[in-house]
Amino acid sequence: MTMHKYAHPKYFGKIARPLFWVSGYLAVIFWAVGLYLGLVESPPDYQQKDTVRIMYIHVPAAWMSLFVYASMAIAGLVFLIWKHVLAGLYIRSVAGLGAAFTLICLITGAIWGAPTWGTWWVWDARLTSVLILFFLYAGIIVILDSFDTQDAGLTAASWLAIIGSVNLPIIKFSVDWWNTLHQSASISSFERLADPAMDAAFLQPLLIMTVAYFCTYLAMASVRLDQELRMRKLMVAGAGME
Amino acid sequence: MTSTPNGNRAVDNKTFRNLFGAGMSILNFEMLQISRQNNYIVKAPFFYVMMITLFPLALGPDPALIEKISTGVLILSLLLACLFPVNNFFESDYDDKTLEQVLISHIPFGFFIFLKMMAHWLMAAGPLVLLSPVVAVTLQGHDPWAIFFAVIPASMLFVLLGIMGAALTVGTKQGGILLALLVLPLYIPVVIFTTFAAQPTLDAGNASAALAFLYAGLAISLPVIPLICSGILKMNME
Repeated sequence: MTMHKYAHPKYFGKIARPLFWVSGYLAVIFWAVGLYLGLVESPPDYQQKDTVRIMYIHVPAAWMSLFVYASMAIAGLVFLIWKHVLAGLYIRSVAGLGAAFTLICLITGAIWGAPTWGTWWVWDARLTSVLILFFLYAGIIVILDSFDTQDAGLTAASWLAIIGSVNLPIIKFSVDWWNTLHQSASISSFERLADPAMDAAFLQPLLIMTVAYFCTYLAMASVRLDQELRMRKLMVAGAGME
Repeated sequence: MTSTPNGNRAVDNKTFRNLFGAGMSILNFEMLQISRQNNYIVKAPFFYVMMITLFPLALGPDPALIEKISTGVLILSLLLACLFPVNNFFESDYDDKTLEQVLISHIPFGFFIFLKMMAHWLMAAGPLVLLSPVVAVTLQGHDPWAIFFAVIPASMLFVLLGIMGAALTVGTKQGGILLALLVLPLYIPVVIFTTFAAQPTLDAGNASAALAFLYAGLAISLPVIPLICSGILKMNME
């Protein structure tokens, strides 16, 4: 099967709507199930009591913020090398989404930190590097509209996304390299999914919430990308009229 | 510039010498141009010293307090003094098509940008580096040499990363805040490691480890950032 044909703007225009509806409905279902399991069904932690439930919002948001940034850096590479319009427009579409995930992660982290660490914010390596990630998203969003032409903005944003991706391994390993307040990963790799450092009662809602976040991302990214494509078509048509 | 008779560009001794000569004259020209046209050679050190002076005046002259905060004050003042002159670094060369002329010449584009950066660092940040140990004496409890050797890579990284931001924003006509917004996140690791390297209260092992990280970052950035800038500018001029 050749997936890359869907990368053609014409074909993407065809699958954008179905992709939005399917992933949108899935997102609603998974959010409902995940929130029910996480907030009602799952047991409170023996130490943190009910505050542990913030994890089901916090951890998937953190994962998605990294995933979205990595996908933007790859899209940036594709745009710079092959001048593929869809890749450039993808950056435009998901930059705000990624920033939102990062902000959710930071805010829920602060709310979680207040009762468990006794402070809203500490300048430890993990927190600071995620804050830098948020600033990088902000820089990309700002630079996208700073040029006369859309393509110049896409090129600059692609470069910035690639340059900023040096931050990703720093975020991932910050809890291992430095002795910080933030705990190290309970699920450090896909292999560890079968044998995580947490009980299955916590893991199950967490994974369902991760799927919910991912479906949300798919729905929002597809509808935003479709919108950007249509805007671009209008712009090209408008330029042709002159 | 002479090329070999059959027109190919094999890197023989002569080509290398020609390239070296071209490089030296570019460096010479850039430094001359900076010294004649931009007066930030004078402005930047004044700004730097005044910035540092303001902190003790604002926070009170308590020596214990100053000793605690002085490293951070020094580094942040250095950061700002390095960031401001970098604004619109490529603008005039971009507007009058100098960059395009260099691009079609035989001089490697990244090499040209590297020389431009070095000229800028020598002229704009060099005075700051030389001033730093002197300033450090006025801020209690510092080893001037520790400051000096931490400030060399720090100022160079500030300039290199700042110029990378200037390459990204070339043609936007807004510079300033936009440049700061793009570049400041990239400055954060430099600030952290420089503070560790120059902190007088820290034990020697940690300080020298941070210093090693700084120089390692510089060793990576010196060849890589000019190449990134040349990639950005080439795409911009297509």
